[in-house]
Amino acid sequence: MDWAWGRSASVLPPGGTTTLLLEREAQVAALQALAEAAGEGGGRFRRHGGKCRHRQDPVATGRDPSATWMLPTWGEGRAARGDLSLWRSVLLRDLNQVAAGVVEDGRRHLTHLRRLLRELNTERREARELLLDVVDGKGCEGNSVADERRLEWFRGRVIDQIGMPWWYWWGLAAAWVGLGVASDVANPWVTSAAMLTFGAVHSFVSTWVLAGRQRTSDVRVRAEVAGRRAPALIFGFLVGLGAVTVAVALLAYADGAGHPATMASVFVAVAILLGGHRLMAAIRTGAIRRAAAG
Amino acid sequence: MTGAARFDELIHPTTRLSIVALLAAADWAEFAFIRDQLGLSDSALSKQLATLEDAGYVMIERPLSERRRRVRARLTPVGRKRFTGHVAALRGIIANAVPET
Repeated sequence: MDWAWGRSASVLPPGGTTTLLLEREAQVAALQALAEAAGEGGGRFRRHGGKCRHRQDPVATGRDPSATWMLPTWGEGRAARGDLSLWRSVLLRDLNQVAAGVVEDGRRHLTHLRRLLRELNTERREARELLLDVVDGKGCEGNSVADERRLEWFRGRVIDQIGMPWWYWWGLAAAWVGLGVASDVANPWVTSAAMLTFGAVHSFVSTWVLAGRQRTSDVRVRAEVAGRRAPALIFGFLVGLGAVTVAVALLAYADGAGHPATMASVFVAVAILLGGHRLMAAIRTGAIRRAAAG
Repeated sequence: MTGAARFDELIHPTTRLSIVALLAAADWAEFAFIRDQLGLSDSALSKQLATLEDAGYVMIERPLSERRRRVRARLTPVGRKRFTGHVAALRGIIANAVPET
């Protein structure tokens, strides 16, 4: 492996592999020189580590060097081979990312480099290392797979946020018990007013929590990610709980219980606390399946 | 997702791709949420968001809050379209991959 160090990069041995360790201000000129040399079929840069490292040199093996050049960002997949001007522009763009600490170096290694660049005082540690690669088709595909996995992973992080605020299920359970107690002991007018109040408050709250898209104030999940059926599922769950409450209350009343509505509401409140989280977990699972299916 | 497959060099770098992927699944996300998910420093994330905002891919909002200063980021329609095209391009590369023999 040949090394070029300092403020110029005139060392471009034909058929060799060059890793650059340059001062930042020399990088642009170096890249231009390297790109020109590449156009002449000169040196070949290869990935520092990774699968491409052990590939045979195209010049040494007699293959057409131009066929091995590919953009680090693969403008249009394999069609980008040999497009030198575009490649140069990509490299220059990469330089702009050095200060931001996001040097693209093949992504499967040198994570410490990114970490260093991310720390404070990045100027002191500003990239002195620039690894240039001509990435072949294999590396391109590998990175694409990694990119897609990264997309899925971050989508999953957002899907994890689907749910109700912690207070929703507890508040709903408490209100349910309160209504049950009111039904047993209070005046029918008071009970009716309490139910109307509960309905109004729940309608107000549900406008922004019922879809399960904003469990916290950190993020709001997109409707298509959470699923269009999520609000309907939750609403159906609540309607079902109401039906269960009436059924249990009637059974308790028929059995001669003293406070059938209270008993039924306590029973359903427990179901709310246990079932609510399970329902949201099921909605999250559905969202993950949809995301996996594309 | 629909849209023509088009590789977007602005989105492609790992950090920005991660940011856009996160925002693509959300209507909006708080600065702190993105920072924590990506494990970035405030300054690094701020730079990346500024780059995306300059390109018109991301919109930064600063909603008023009594308790603390909040910063939200959301993907613009342009950014969402570019991200969709980029994902399609990635999938095209994978689909065209020739298995090793």
